[in-house]
Amino acid sequence: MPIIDMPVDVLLARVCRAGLKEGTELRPTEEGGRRRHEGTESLRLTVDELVELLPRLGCEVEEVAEVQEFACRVCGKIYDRTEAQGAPLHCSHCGTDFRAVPASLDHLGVSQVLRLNMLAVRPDIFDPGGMARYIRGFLGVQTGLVEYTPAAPRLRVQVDPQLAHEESYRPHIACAVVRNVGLDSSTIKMVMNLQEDLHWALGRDRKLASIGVYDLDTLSGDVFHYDAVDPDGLRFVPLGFPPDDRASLLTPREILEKHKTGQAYAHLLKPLKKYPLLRDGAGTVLSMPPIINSESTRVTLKTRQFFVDVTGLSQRTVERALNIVVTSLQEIMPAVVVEGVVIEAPTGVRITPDLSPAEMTLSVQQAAETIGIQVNAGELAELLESMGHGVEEGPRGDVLRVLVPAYRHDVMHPVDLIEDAAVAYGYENLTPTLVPTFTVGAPRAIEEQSATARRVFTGLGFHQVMTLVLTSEPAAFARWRVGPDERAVQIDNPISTEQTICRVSLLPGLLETLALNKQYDLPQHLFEVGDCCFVDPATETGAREERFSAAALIGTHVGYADIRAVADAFVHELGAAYTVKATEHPSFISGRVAALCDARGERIGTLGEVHPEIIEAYGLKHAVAVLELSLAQLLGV
Amino acid sequence: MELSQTQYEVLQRLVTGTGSGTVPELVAAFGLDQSLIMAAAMGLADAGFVTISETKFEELRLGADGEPFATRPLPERVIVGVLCERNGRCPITEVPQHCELDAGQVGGALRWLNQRGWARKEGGDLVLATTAPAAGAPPQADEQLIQSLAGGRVATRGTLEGEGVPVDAAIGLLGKRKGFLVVKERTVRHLAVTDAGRELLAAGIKGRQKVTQLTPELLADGGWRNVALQPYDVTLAAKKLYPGKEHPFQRTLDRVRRVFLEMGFEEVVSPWVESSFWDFDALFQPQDHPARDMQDTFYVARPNRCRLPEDGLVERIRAVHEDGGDTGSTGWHYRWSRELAQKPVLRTHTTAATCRALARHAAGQPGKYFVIGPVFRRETADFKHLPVFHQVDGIIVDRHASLATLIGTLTAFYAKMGFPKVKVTPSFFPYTEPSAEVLLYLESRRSWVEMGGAGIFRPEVTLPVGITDRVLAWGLGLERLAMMIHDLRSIGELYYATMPWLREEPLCRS
Repeated sequence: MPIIDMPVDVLLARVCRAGLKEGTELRPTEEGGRRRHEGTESLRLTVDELVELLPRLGCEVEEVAEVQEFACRVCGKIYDRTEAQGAPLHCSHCGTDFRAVPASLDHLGVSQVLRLNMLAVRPDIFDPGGMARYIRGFLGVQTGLVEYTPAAPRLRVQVDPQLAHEESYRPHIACAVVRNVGLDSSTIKMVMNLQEDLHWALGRDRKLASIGVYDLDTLSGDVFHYDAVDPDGLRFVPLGFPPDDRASLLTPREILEKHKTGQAYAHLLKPLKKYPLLRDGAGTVLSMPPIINSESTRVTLKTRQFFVDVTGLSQRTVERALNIVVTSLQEIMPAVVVEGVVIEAPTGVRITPDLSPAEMTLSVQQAAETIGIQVNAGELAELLESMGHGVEEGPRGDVLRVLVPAYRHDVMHPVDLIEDAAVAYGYENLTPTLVPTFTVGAPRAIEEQSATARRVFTGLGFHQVMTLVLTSEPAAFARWRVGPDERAVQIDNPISTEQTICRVSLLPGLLETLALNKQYDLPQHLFEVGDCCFVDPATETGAREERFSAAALIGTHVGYADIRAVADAFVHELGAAYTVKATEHPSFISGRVAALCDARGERIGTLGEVHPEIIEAYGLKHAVAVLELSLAQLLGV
Repeated sequence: MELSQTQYEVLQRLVTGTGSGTVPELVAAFGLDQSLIMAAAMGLADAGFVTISETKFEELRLGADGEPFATRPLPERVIVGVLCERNGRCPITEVPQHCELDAGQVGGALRWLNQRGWARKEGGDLVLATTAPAAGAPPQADEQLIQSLAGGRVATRGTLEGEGVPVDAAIGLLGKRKGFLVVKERTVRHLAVTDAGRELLAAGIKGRQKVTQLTPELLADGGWRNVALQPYDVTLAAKKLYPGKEHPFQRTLDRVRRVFLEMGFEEVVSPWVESSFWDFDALFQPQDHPARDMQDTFYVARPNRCRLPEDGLVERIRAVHEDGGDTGSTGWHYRWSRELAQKPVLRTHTTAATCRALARHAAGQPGKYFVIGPVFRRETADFKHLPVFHQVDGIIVDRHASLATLIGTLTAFYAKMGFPKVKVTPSFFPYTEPSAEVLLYLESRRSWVEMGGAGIFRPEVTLPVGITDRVLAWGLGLERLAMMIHDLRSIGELYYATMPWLREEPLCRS
């Protein structure tokens, strides 16, 4: 889950905007707890009220933090940094290295942010514009569908059919023009954060979709081109490089090698023979998606109109990202005018963004039953409207026709609308009940038997330990003087060298625990009852667990007879039988190790005195005797 | 009043004897350690049956330097003998030639010869005085004392004086010779029976032996009736004992299990190595979902491929991902890959188990299932995280299921676990709708702590496995719950347990 920093002043201003008069307080309503704006005036909201409100909207507030604001002088990107985080080391947007060029980092001052822990499902509320829209609806300040209607297109983008070929695959593009932009350092920051958050939440770190925003006044022509180009066939100055230096002119291939952002995302283009490139009517490069924009088209405080593009591998994701970008821009800067762009793709011609709402039908009864409340069509409609949906009642009042806003692509099914209604109703206003249906509890046999096994060991004075089920080959095998067990499940992408396989024995964990406790008084008696995991081609997933029990004794006078007595008592108490046969095992002292076999003569376990080399390897100073057997096999489960 | 055996015997000896006696006499008479006699005497004295008085006396014995002269004459006596043989005069330097003394011993003796008036120095010569004792003259006081203490004898001043030794004069002389004589002041305690003591005995009281251990012999011959069992200081601390115990986390897991069984749930299981199909696809997580990333999920290299369930189910899952199938959903709009679904992972949640249970469940019937077990996330270990932790997942299949009953069930569960304050807030998860976050109020920290996620399974999850009723589902972390119950700061304390904690964490905490 990422942390989204929401600037408090901007958010409050956006929530309380809409040219309404100051002064009306939020009041609790009779429905209990929920605060709803009443009357037609404006509302006032404090930070504390926001902090109390957001969890009820599904947003987890990590903290209200004071942050230092820094700005990249090269591209204008703004950073909010807490005390602990410190100043940024390089620009995540244009790649400028602030350590090498300290003068390129401006310190702007201090501001207050809400640090929100957000799940990726709702990227439409990652920016203060979208979040404010969400809160306004919930508070009843502005309910129902917010209509966004793009103006008629004036620009066209022609898409190169080669982009649909495997060797240059990034076929989808959606664009928009945003006019009447007025920027300050705060809005510029929101625009850039919006881009980055969508890269994460929708774009899968730019793989599925990447977003570019450009100063339209630096571009010319009515027909732009989205092409697949030769990586060595042309040069342009990438964002962050000095525009008047000839050395800044790089080919696409060179950008992947020399530019910091190019290096970071090179893996996305490297497999391709031709790279995607977006150019205006005069051939000026806008960007090389999904890597970097050009320096000449970058957005500055003076920018008055944007060209926005989203390219990617999935048509749906690309359009969804564009819809969120333009509607949030509209919320952040209410004066802007969004204008469509004609996309001339090999698959057909269409106009983006398409901000028309999706239509869905919702059964009132299904919604009421799912939430567990009594609600009629009108009440349900009101709940949905406070979540930003447009609602029309069906002819008989048993279904609603819901218009889902274009930025809500997470609404895939009527149940998503039910959730919205439940959030609007308030989870805290529901009456907790239990299902009235009678069912019979049923334990698993092996769990009951394991409980018995634990009872025997504790009765014998042993203490149970629980050790990690992940281990490594050196800890599980080499240290025990045996070769690697091919039956061990092996992790493909381990996170540490200590956890690369699933355990096939409980003994290493027991010895590790003894090693951890060598300063405490002896003797020590430990046991564990737990699963080991084995590769087994006969099973559906290729591996299976088996329940084992193991015990270890350490002390000055500990020997085979002690652990043998424990094994006998254990097996007796479980109502099972076994035979003990002399054997040899590299992990045990020769002549002091026995194989435990079931009635059919199958080996189900081992007991004996641990080899001194192993005792040494664990840094222990006393004799150790251990027992391990398969509980599952002992009991024939 | 009750007398111990020793007290009784001491009292009896005093009464039948002279009525008094010293401790050393009683020690000799009973053959008991002096401390036992004294303990008995003090007890009798405290009760007023005897009085104890003390007399002091001097005790003498030879020191290490005086001992040799018990068998040979003092040096000055030897020199007098030499002078007598040499007509009363002899150069000092020649004296050693005529006796067994060396020059040093002769030099040391000059002081005593002079002091006793036996000889004097004239130039280099030593001259016998007229007052010197003749050879064979009786020993002087110091010599008498030395001889009477010969052989390491220890004697009191009174005894020696009784033998005619002029003790005062002898101490006067020997006291000046270092290491010759040891005089110690001693105390002797006398016991004298009182009238009360005589009356007690006359009344026919008997003594009772005190014993510490009630032995099998005492029980066998009934001897316990005649002895007094020594009372103890019952306030003293005893040695620490620790019963063998289940691990505190196990106790928490057991309690969770018991609660769900009580609430009518059936326990289910699923493998640690799980196909991506059951871990993700069946739960409507698109194949490009961040949770499926190599960054967050452990993929398995051995085994490297899982089998998929029957084709019909696989086909329905494919359809629901691609375009929603016949669930009424829009789907995710991408090409679903069978191959990706076959990739084995270490299960990232126990929801894989409840999802399998759901697929086995008979449609139209109510059901409740739960699973407790380890799950795996590719997380760097720190005080809050480990790459393995435990979850309890539960589902309720029921036509009465609703968000309100979900909250009711979770509240009932945590109330039974000892946490009556439960809060459920909205959240967003890919396979539930509505979704909820479950929080517990922790009195000790005065704050709400997240315990896990919950919700109602999306139709995209339930319809492909043939379930038309609503299904409540939750997945709750258990380490965090155990850490709250056992008041731990780090999750590692559960898995890297120390003996003191295992031994001392009380069973009542579970």
